[in-house]
Amino acid sequence: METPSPYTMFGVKGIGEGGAIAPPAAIANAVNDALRPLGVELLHSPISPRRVVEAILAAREAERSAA
Amino acid sequence: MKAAAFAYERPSDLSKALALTARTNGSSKIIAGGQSLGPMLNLRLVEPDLIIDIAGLSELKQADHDGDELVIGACITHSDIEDGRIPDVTRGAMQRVAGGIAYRAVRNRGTIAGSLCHADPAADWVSTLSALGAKLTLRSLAGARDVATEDFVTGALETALKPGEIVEAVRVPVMTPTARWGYVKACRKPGEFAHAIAAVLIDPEAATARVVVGALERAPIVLGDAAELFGGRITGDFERQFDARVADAILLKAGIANAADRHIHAAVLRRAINEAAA
Repeated sequence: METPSPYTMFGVKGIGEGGAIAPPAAIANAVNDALRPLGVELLHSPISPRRVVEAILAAREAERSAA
Repeated sequence: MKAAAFAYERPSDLSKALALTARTNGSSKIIAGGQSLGPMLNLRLVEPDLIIDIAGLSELKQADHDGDELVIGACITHSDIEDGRIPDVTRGAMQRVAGGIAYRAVRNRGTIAGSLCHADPAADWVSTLSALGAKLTLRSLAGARDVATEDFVTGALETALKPGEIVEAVRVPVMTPTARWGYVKACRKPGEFAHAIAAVLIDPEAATARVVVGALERAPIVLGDAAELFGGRITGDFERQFDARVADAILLKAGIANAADRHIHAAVLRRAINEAAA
């Protein structure tokens, strides 16, 4: 059975990407929820340990200079 | 890429290898396992005129006790140590470190002295052997001299090896029965080069502590007397006495300007100290 997409030139549809696009965003949301009390928000993947440490130190620094 | 053209010699004994090295006066490279030099050649980061292959020299593949030291031949491989094919005087420390080097295929061919001569700051032996207080025996036609590991590795990919010299052996002191050791490296996947390394050898009975922070952009930081990290005195309570702020200050003084880098190295050091105390 063929169900061509009405939105693309040759009726093609993406496959596979759907499964790959959502997880980084879901993981980032979970990490950001966990880090919210520290005033940290990460907007880039991969969320490496180093990026987490850098973001926490930067948030701490910002808080110190605001105080 | 492929390596630039080079001549290749496979001398039948160490004195012939030394004579070849002396004659080429710095334009030759020693190869043993080739696990570091191989890629360096192919990337043309080194272009020696002559490669001298010492992998077949049986006199460099011995490991024997000599007084209170274990003398490990330069061409002993990581897997020789991992598999316990040579004696151990470090209560399992070297065996565990060896088993964590890169991948098994690398460990099968890579040698202990080859790793030290390559002097990658993130290499396991560079930090471990500094912590264990090991020395290297460097031989040339003129004779031999012993150099402490931390004096041998002078910088990233830089050593105290002079033209005409070959590392003959690594001399590892017998660990005291009361000593505790810890070794932790930060890797995001197994086998990759470490982002941070800490190696500690602490003897609360003797009140001594050697602490090494490695995988920096320079030679490891070696504290032969690390008492200042533990409130000025090494006691059985060293785990609780460890002061991360002192570690941070030492790292800053050593030129590690980035606060996140210092945080990661101090965290890895704390884990190594926890391991030593466990």
